[in-house]
Formats: sequence, structure tokens, C-alpha cells
Amino acid sequence: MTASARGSAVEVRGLGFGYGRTPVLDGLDLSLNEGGLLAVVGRSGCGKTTLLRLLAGFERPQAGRVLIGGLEVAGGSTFVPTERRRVGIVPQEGALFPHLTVAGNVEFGLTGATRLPRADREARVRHLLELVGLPDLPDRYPRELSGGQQQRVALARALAPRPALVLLDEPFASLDQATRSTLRGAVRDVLRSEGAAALLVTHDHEEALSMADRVACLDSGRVVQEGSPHEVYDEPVDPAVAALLGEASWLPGSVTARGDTVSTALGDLVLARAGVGGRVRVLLRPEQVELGEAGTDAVVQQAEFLGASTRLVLRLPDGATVRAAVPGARVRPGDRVRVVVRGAVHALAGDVEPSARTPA
Amino acid sequence: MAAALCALSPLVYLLVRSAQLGADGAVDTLLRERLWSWTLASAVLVLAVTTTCLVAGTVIAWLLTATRLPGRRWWLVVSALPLAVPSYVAAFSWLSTVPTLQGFWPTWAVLSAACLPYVVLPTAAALRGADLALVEVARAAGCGPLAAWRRGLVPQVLPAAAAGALLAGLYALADFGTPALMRHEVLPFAIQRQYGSFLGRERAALLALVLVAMAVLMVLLERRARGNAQRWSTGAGAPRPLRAVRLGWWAVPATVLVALPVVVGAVWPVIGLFRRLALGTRRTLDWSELTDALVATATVSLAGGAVALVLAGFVGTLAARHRGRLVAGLESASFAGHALPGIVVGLSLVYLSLRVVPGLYQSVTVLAFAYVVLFLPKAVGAVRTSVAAVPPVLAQVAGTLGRNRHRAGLVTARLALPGVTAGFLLVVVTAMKELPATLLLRPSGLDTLATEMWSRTSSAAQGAAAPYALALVLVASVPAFLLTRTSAWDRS
Repeated sequence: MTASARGSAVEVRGLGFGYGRTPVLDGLDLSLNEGGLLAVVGRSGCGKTTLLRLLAGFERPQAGRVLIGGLEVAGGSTFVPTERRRVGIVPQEGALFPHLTVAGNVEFGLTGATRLPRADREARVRHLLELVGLPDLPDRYPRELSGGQQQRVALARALAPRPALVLLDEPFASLDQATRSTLRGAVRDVLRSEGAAALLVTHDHEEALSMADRVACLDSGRVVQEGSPHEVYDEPVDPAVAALLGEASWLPGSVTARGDTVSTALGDLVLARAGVGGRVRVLLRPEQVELGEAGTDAVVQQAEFLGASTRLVLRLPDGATVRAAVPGARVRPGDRVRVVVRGAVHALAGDVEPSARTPA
Repeated sequence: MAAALCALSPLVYLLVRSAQLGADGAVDTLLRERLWSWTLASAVLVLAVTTTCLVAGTVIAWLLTATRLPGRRWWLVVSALPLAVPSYVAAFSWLSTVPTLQGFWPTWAVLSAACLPYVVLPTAAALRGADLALVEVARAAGCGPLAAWRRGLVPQVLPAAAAGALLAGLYALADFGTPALMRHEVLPFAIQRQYGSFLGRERAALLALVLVAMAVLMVLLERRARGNAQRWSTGAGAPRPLRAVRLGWWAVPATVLVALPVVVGAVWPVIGLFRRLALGTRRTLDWSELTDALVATATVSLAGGAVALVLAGFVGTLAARHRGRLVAGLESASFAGHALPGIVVGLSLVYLSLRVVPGLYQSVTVLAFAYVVLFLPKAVGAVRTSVAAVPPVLAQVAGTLGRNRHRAGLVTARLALPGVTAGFLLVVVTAMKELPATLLLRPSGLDTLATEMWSRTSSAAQGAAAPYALALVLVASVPAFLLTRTSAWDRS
């Protein structure tokens, strides 16, 4: 992580905000290094959109402070208005100015407070349109563009004034699956080549894990876990975070005397990290569960063929169920199979809560 | 606040003024047989015109949007034509060709033809945007074809049709010129008479209150009819358009139905005016008089329109961006003018200016103020819908791109501009056609096109009114043209 050597793009400390008496954000802490891409994930209503509005300066926080590019923009009596915060925003569905051409939209932020010479403006617009892959469409109007193209223009527009921070508000939510995945990579590359720090708000875990270099998980107005995509996916701090980032099954188990394995209904499994003891809950991601010649007996309860893989719900002899995603499996409900777990597992102290059990 | 005060002041003063009749005087006036016959005549006329417009207007709108009527796109534009001919001009023209057209039926026919576009245009727009999927869902849920239409389609179209019918009804209630020319004695006509008579001013105020009560009743009825159907949204996704129905031989009566109001309300009156002009008159046309009237008309209505627009800018923007009790109340108050007939506003402003600011009595200021009260609703409506159509996120994005709050607001203003401009023009041109309030309030020596035409219709030299009537038609064509153009814009 070379990013830690750089300055910070955003620092949020103890941020609080609510509508009426309902708190939305409750002592939220967050930081993002220059040039980094932080994904903020959470269920709807967790406060992620509010966080974004507070960072943009559309709302005034009721507690805490916000620093953008090292400058305090909110906190105490300080409140810097949106236009002087150096933030760019890519809203849902783009929100391009319908009366301006593509070039006019991108140029918009260059004709505001800081007036660049005309030649510089044009060069910047050309550069950005090339970067987002639309060099040939400067004279089109937004209504003549596809949804994906509109989002590319919105990104170029946000980047044009070289903001300290770019806010991406579920920018791919309205696009179809194929456009979404090509755009993910394109947007990340553009942000990298511009060296812009970005905060991506999303509820799509694939989007968060594939694009971001840090992921912050929000729940009830706080950050409950923050880390690299691998950390939050492989070692979630609680079942709620685990569910936020993908499918998860939990098996009860007890840590063996040596402290590096855990015995479960699926046999003795290697712990990825020592440190827990006694009764634990073991996290199994679907791709960790495989069908094999040897292993624990199980009955297929549900089978959903998805093409590349088949999603299974398997019932173990002790009645517990686990989810599996198995490539090329041709099984049907009722079939008997043998199950093995690949690789090391992550465990949390405590018993499996009834609500966290895999629903049958 | 100022806007709400402006709009409500006439009403308050009418109450004060009619209170001066005293209890006995008021009872005496209320018990007069004539009052009841006038009120009844007004009620019957309004009911007849409203019903005609609602039924015929909806059928015509359906013919023009959901059938294969030959030339239906062309007919849609043509059916807006009666908007370009003020009803009293149409009445004048009909009378100049057929002088025996008097009483209820001719008044009903002219007013219905004049008001039909108020129902046809919005209902056609609603039908164009209607989603057939709702009818299909209703069918799938077990409704028969008729029930499916009633439950799936009618609620999508009803708000537009009801709002249009309300406009038509209010117009019929408030119209002074048409019944006066066709000698059909309704309330506005009676008010004007009382006002002119000795000691009749308090009585006129009381009659005006009866008129206001009827108007308010109509607004309330329309609100109830509209109910919750107002905000019908089927969410994202393109609506499935209605399937066009083949008419076969029914196309012939359908075409007659579509053409009839256009002929009665626009084509024949304009032909009549030209015929009248060709016949010549004893008095030759005084071009400088016509020009003076045109300049005076433009000045007063532009001034009124500009003030209305500034007030509407505040109320309309508030209404579009912030919902709350205070704002809703403010908006309702500014809509009072909607229900206040021109003659009532004229009358109350005569009293008000005499009592409060005698120096301004019969000044251009009071006349322009009357136009503000009368046409504020139109301006507020235009500003509100245009501003509400601009997503707030655009101003926020402008903020992140370095625009401060005011300059970010300019983005919204820029996008709302076409709608607001159309609204402003609509106000100005409606003010140009305004007759009863102008007759009561104009300064001596100031003649507008409408009052000049009016004074000539009552004189012997009726032909002299024709040039003024044609000038009015020309002026009124502007918003009619704009209306068809904006609906063309919707389609693209």
C-alpha cells in the first residue's frame, strides 16, 4: 500500500446527521487516501446516500467534522458551500444538463469560478472525452446517448475541474448487466489515470469488490468494518457484513486444542487466522464448498442451474444446510453427494444465531 | 405573501362593501325574484357548457388520439383554433350575420365551441401518455372489457378532463361579453347593469359575491372529482400506447363532431368578420385610433403580465421545490384569481382604489393590478410545472462544478425558460382580450382593442367593430399557436 504515504483526500470524524428525531448517521468515521477508491456498501436506508450528500455539501452535518483535501469543510461553525469544496459528483442516471452538448457538459465546470483560457479548456475536454472513450461525440446532446455513454460523460464532467474527491452515487444502477461490467473497469481506469480519489456508494457487492481498493461497510449509520476487498469478504466482523458482500453459510464448530483447526459437521477445517477459541461460527462462502469423491454425506435440497455454475443448497447429516456454487455440477434435488471444504476458513466467536442460519 | 395578499384583497373588500347594504338591504336584494332568475340562468348555462365540453371534449380527444380518423394529427392542431377567437368576438360575428341569434341556445353554442379546446387538448395529451398496460392488468384481474377501461384507463384521463371542464365552466360563469351580446341575462351581465344604475353599487357587490360562491363551489367539486387520481404514476418504463381503433363509416359522423366546434367557434366567425369588413361601413377606419388601442393594450397587459410573472416566480418556484402547509396555502391563495370572474375583480378594485388609494382610481396601475389578480394562477401554474420538470439534481451538480447557489439556480431557470415564457405570453394575451374588468377600471382616454370593439358593437355602426375584432383574433392566435407547438414538443 503506497497510498498510505500520500495525503488524505477525505477525513470524516464522528459524523452525525438525522431527519427529525431519526438518526441516519451516528458517529461515522471514514478516511480515504489521495488517489484511492473507497466503496461504501450497506443495505438501503443505512445512511450511505446521506453520507454522500454531507460530503458534497448538500446537507449540513449535525455533529462531527469533514475534511476534504486536508481542508476542513464542515465541523463546528465551519461550513464550506458545495461550490468551494472541490468535489465532483456522478449521480444516478448521469443527470447531464439536457440543454448542453457532450462537450458543453464536460466544459461546464471549467467556466465557473476558475476561468481557464479557451484553448486549455478545449484541450482538457478533448483529453477527458478520449479518456472515457467518447472522442467522437462532442456535439451530441444527452438525449442522443445511451445510458452507458451518459454515465461516461457524467464522469468526464465531474473530473474536468480536477476535484479533490469524486463521489459516485450508484452510478451503474440503471444500466443493464453487460454495460455495467464493462463500465466498471473503464471508470476505475479513468479514475486511476486522473489520479482522482473517489468514493463509490453502492449496494451491489460485485461493484464494490471489483472496483474499490478499500471497502467500508455501513450499518445503522456507522462504519462497522473497513478494509481491502479481500479482508472484508474473507474475514467479515459479523454475519451482517458477510451477507452484505455475498452469499454466506454459517456452521457451528469448536476450535481444537491446538488452536489452528476447527471441528464442524464438514470435518476438521483449517482456520485462516488463529485467535478464537471454544465454540465458534464458521463462515463458508459458496465457492469454498465443493463436491468430491470423499467427504461428508449430504443431500441436495435445491439446485439452481446458472450456466457457468450450479447453485446448491445442501443438507448435512446433522440437519444444518450450506450453500455451494459448483461449476459443472449436474445434480438434482434429492441426490446424495459428498461435500468437502476447500482452503482455510474464517470463524467468529459465539454460537450461530437462528437468524443467521442458511434458510432452507 | 404579497402574491397571496394581492389575490385575496378583492374578495375581502367585496364582503365589506356588501355589508354596507345592511341586513335589510341584503335580504331585500337576495329575495328579489330577478336575482334568482339571474343565478338560475347562470347555473343552467354553466352546467350545460361544462357537460357539453366534458362529454364532447373527451369523445373528440379520444377520436383524435386513439382512432384511425383520417387526418387526425391535422385535426388536433385545428381543434385548438377556437382559442384564438375570444367568445364575444365569435358572438359578435355570428350576430352580424344572423341577427336573430339570441337567448340561451346561441349563447350555449358559442361558449361551448369556445371552451372545448380546454378539454380536448389536455385530455388528448393524457390519452397519448396513457398506459394500456393498466387496462390489460385489469383484464387479467378478471374485469370485463368495459370495467377494465373504467378502472384502468378512466383514472389516467379523468384528472386532465376534469381540470379542463373546470376551466370551461369557470369561463362560462365569468363570461360577460357573449351573454350580453346575445341578450341572455346571466349574473355577470346583471352585475354590470346594477353597477351602472343609481345606488346599484352595493347590490352589484352582493351579486358579485353570489358569483364568487358559485365559482368556489365549482373548484371544490373538481377537486373532489379529481381525488387521489391526481398523481398516477406507473413507474419507470415506457407506457404501452393505446391501440388505434378503426372507425369504418363511423369516420363520417366523427369528422362532423370534430369539425363542428371549430366551425362554430373559429371558422365561421372569422369569415363573418371579413364579410363585414368587405361590406364597408359608414365610418371609415381610423388607423391612428387602431394603433393607439393596440399600443395601450400591449402596454397595460405587458405591465400586468410582468408583475404577475415576478410574483409567480416566487410562488411557483416555492411550490415546485418545497412542499409544506405554508407553501400550499400560499399557492391556493394565488389561485383565487382563477375562481374570481373578471367583473368581480373589476368591481372590487373600483371600490378598493376609491377607498384606499383614491389617487390611483382609474389609473393604469389599478388596471395592471387587476390583470395580476386575474392571471396570477396562469403564471404560477406555468412557473411551477416548468420548474418541477427540471430535476433538482442538476442544480446540485452545478454546485459541485463551482457554481454558487444563485448561479446554480440559473441552470434551473435556463431549463424552465421555455415553459415560463409560454406562460408569460399566455398571461399577456389573455389580458389583451380581457373585457369586463377593463371596462370598469380603464382610465378615461385609455382604450384597449377589447373596449374599442365593445363600444362599437353597441353603436349603430357595427361594421366599425370588425377591424378591432380581427386585431383581437390576431393577438389571440399567439397562445393558440404556442399551445399546439408545446404539445408538439412533448411528442418529440
